[in-house]
Amino acid sequence: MAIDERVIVETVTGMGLAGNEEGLIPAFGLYLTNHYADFYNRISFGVLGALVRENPELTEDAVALLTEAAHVCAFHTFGGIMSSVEWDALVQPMIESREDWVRGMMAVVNAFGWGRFRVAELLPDERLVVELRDSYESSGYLESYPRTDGPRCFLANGGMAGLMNLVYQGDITRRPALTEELYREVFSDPRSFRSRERLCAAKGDSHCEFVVERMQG
Amino acid sequence: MSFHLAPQADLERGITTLGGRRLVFHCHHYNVFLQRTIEDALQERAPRLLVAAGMEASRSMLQGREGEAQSGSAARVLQRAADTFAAQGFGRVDVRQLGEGGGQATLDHSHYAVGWVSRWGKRPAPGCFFAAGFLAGAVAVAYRLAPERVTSREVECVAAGDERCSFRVEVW
Ligand SMILES: [Zn+2]
Ligand SMILES: [Zn+2]
Repeated sequence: MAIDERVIVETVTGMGLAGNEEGLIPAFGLYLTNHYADFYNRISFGVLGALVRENPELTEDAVALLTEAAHVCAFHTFGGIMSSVEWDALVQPMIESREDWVRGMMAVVNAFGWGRFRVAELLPDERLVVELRDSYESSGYLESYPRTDGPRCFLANGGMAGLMNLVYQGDITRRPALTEELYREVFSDPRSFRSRERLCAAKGDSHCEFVVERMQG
Repeated sequence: MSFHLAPQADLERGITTLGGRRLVFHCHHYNVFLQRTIEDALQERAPRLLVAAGMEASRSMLQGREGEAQSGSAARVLQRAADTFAAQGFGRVDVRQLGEGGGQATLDHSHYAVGWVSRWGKRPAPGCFFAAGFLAGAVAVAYRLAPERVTSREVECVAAGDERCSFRVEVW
């Protein structure tokens, strides 16, 4: 059985992830929030704007900070999901190859409100190309800021690198403990994956596109 | 949940909205890491950005939703905001002491406090900035106040070692 994205999206949506009597959403071994895109966009683009205005030379460093947050997000969120009982029940039975871990995770994310991801190309252990439509980062950016000449989907971009690192670098299929040590080991490896947002709706492209490759082939 | 509390999902496009504004699932690791990144980068300016962004987000959503829901009393608008806050995973907030002059609100099981403590332990000062902004937005919408008139500050926080999180909302 191959990954059936529709079944995954409908099932995750149908889980009705909402606060319990404490007002918390414990799921996939995490505490989730069904948060405001407006909040993330304002704080992310707000801090970026402030740092760059004060010192334009800091642009790359500021983007690196937001990318690091995205790597942390992917490591724990995607890692937590791929280690969860929910994953075992829903996605694991559809998995036939290591690449299906990537496709299965993309399907779960498509139930998270981030927009619609589609795997355009996946070369095992080497390269991932993902298209994203209706990214909440680019659409939120365009609502409040002038069109940019650089990409703006920092969370999605770092997330894609994180996904490849989990599957091909940290070997999430063996269910390692998702510790800070493992995070550092995986992401500081010179051969680990990084993502580049080649197309972005925030700079006028029709959609966003991410290319994920190893830093050193 | 009644219809106007429930987020609307467009599964084809991967978009969920509430009151016309987009919602996205994220976990506590990202939430507190991103907040810490911003606090480290902006230092004493960070709380202003974090609280203002929380207020803007909640105000936009509540305005959109209360427009659809034909509101009712201000107290009901505030209670619906608190129910939404809990349904979204941010914790249980008691808004019964809030009124058109502001007031005190207490928050149990704050997502940001729980998340911060689980990752890093205690912090020296309160850390639930989003919640503070959310409450200011809720008061502004419930009493139809210009947002500039409402400020909100967390005065006690579980992440800073207090027994509970509590907030002081002021209307000027
Ligand atoms: Zn983009
Ligand atoms: Zn707190």
